[in-house]
Amino acid sequence: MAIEWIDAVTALRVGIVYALLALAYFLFARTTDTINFAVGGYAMAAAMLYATLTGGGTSPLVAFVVAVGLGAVLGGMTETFVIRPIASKGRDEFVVVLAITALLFVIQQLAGFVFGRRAIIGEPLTAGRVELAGYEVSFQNLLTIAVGFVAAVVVGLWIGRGRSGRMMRAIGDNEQAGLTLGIPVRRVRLIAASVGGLLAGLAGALTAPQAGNSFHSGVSLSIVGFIALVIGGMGSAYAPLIGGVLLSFLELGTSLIFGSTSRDYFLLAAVLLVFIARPEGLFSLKVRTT
Amino acid sequence: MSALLRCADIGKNYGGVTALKRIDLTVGVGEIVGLVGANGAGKSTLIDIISGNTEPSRGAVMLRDREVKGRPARRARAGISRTFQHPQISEVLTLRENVACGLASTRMRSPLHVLRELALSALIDTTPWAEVDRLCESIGLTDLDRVAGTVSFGDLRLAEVGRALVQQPDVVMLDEPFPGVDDEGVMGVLAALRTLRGQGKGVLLVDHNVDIVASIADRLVLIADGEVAIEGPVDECLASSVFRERYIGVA
Amino acid sequence: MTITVTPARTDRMEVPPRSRGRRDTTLLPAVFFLVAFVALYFGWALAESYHLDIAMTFTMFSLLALGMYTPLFLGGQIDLAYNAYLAAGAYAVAIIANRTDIPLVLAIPIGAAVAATMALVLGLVTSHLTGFHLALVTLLAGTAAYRWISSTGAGLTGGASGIGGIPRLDLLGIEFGREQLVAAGLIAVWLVAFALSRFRRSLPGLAVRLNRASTPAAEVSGIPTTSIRLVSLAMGAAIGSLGGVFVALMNQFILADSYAPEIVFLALFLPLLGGISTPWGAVIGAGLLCFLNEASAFIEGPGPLVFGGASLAILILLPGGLIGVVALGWSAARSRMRKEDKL
Ligand SMILES: Nc1ncnc2c1ncn2[C@@H]1O[C@H](COP(=O)(O)OP(=O)(O)OP(=O)(O)O)[C@@H](O)[C@H]1O
Ligand SMILES: [Mg+2]
Repeated sequence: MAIEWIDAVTALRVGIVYALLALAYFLFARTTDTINFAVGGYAMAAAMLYATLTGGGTSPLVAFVVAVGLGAVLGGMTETFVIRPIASKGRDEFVVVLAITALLFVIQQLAGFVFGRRAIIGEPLTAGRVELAGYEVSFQNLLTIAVGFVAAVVVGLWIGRGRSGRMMRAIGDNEQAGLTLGIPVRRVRLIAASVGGLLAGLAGALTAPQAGNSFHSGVSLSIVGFIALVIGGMGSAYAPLIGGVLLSFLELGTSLIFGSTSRDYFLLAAVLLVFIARPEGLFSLKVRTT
Repeated sequence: MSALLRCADIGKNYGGVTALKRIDLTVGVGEIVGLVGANGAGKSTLIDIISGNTEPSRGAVMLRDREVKGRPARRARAGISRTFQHPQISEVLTLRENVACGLASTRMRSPLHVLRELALSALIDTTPWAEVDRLCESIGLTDLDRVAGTVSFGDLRLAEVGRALVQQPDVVMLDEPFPGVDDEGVMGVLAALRTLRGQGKGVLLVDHNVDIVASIADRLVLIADGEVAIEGPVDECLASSVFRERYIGVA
Repeated sequence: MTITVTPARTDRMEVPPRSRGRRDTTLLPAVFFLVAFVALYFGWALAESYHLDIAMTFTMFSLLALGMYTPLFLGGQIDLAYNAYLAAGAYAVAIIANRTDIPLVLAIPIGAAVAATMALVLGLVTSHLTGFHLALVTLLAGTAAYRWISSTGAGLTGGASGIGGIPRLDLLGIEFGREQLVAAGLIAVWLVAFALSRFRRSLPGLAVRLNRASTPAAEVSGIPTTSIRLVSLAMGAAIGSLGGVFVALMNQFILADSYAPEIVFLALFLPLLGGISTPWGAVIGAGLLCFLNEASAFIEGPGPLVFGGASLAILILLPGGLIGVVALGWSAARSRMRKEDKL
């Protein structure tokens, strides 16, 4: 079965979005030791906001900035009002998982309340399309790939070279060590959480014009982002990027072979395979085991 | 005295670090062996290997001349029990309930036993609570309705000792059971160990308080540099210059 | 060098007998809920036809949350595939009634067995996973199960449109109409909650709880940690399937959409709201859910939001749940109660 190259462009665009979500997870996991299952919720909220604003006549660029900002705010609020208070009461991973799950649920219900319960599609940032090798490709597609890719690389550079990025790596999940080194742990965590939220918001705002988003898209966005992280691993800041793109291409492959309804089975199989065969992720992820 | 527990040629490497080079050690029937050594000598590692919590790099553990293998639960059912240097206790259970967990080694021996306990659990309370209470009192652990998360470190240790003893083990290994425990508790534990000795059980006692260990042990074993540096009757060991150099000198 | 140690008590028999064992604290709540259920049934449920439906919703959510209680709240195993277990019970009823000659009552054990088997397989595959990773895999498994019943397995399950025309259960000459089913459901909830409250304090229950705190401790105590984990997963799944059985028998039809993974989230919050220090908390939580359901237009209104928000607040502020709060107000001095209520 021949893969049309246009499918590859679509897969790349989807993969970049997955990668942004995975990178959001990565930032939370690295600084707060939490798999923040709510990132899909941020993305969904950003997408709904973008779609609602552009639907109401706001210029797409303004809507874009506002939506991405919403992601950042939600990320920061999660750290301040959920993760940190629980950690301060003696961290029990079980409580954290439940709380994050509840948070995702709350964000979804809130979005359903504010933006309505029907799926909505946003205006593209830029209309128009180009013809490339016999296919029409929308600017929005190319823009998504470019913006997402640049964002992932910039964050990667920031973690690798930037000041707070380096401090972030130094803290890891060891708050005490960070404090001894004189690092403002709380601030660094808040920054990382906000950047994580921003990336998720970016993922949401970029997808808003592509596919309909409704208030319960949050869970599935969370799931694919987490899987991308699992596949890529947490070995480096670029691992989520590779994981996201890889996941998307694997999805494309299975849907071409087995049909589009096979997706849920494929995701389950992929995750189980990674957990069983390479628990640290293809690019080395630490899986928490007993 | 015939050997109840025997460690044959045990070695353990953590990556490049050698924790234990070569250890041969026996605990006889009705014998209390004091295992001493400086910090990091490998005492806890040896206990972990015997209880099955750590895989040895080489060597074998024999109980009554039969090799014991497999997961810790299996060894517990075979008659080996232990405490942890850092108490491993459920903070939400009461002291009594924590101690009672040790009953699993006799009452949950097979999946069938598990299912039976499970089926019975909804109907009647088959746990011999009186036995648990009696044991706890004998080692100086009282007020058993206290939730473990609220009690002193010493009481946590005593609860661990209780959990190890309620298993009615053939060999019990106590890893530093005394720090934080008040005099009454120490006396209680020692008395319980004497009772075990009288019943022909074996005890491996680890503690940095050599006075206490010496007061009860039949034999001392000192490990240093991953090997048995000296072993023998308590008085001989304490008098030996090797003992002072390799343990007290270092510590 | 030597200290003289006077053996204080060499003989255990010397210890004077004191009041032994623990008080049985499971009976009082059981009696309370028995009275409450009887009053609820005769005083309220029978009054209006739609009260029966609410009572059945209460039954289903109670059983779902009670199913999750042992593996999740006692064992710390975040198994989120409960929509699949619920579906196993419901589809066992529908398929056996419409596609086989097997007596309908056998749908109860068959549904439970299917659910337990699914949980066992899932438990075996995920044996080395905990926390978020276990949550992810089980959520995906629940999603895949939903996909299967709603599309791939349509030949058997009727796909999205489900299966209708389920006859009334006829057992020993008694036809289980709506009233009888609600009564049976309430009895089942009461029995399961009571059994679990006793299980929680029995040796297997203690084993599950010690294993949650420290697997090494559980292992050296002789607890077969793998079996006990699998048993608790299977037990929970079987209880969950019972909820599906009742709903299918009550409505006489089933729709795939009732078994989407979303339902798991709601059920997850029930014990949190009701209090997790006893299985009755799950029942209280289910009661609150049905009350909210009544108080606001549930699907469109702010019901789930209030529910999720309250759960989140409880998790952040007081992990003991509502029973914890009551207990605190009731005897603030007994700080250990708070500890016991902690997860
Ligand atoms: N998991 C591990 N990984 C690497 N090294 C380890 C590990 N566990 C123990 N060690 C090393 O093995 C050696 C023996 O440790 P062990 O805890 O057995 O000593 P110990 O005699 O019990 O000391 P202490 O008296 O302080 O309890 C130490 O050097 C320790 O650093
Ligand atoms: Mg030690």
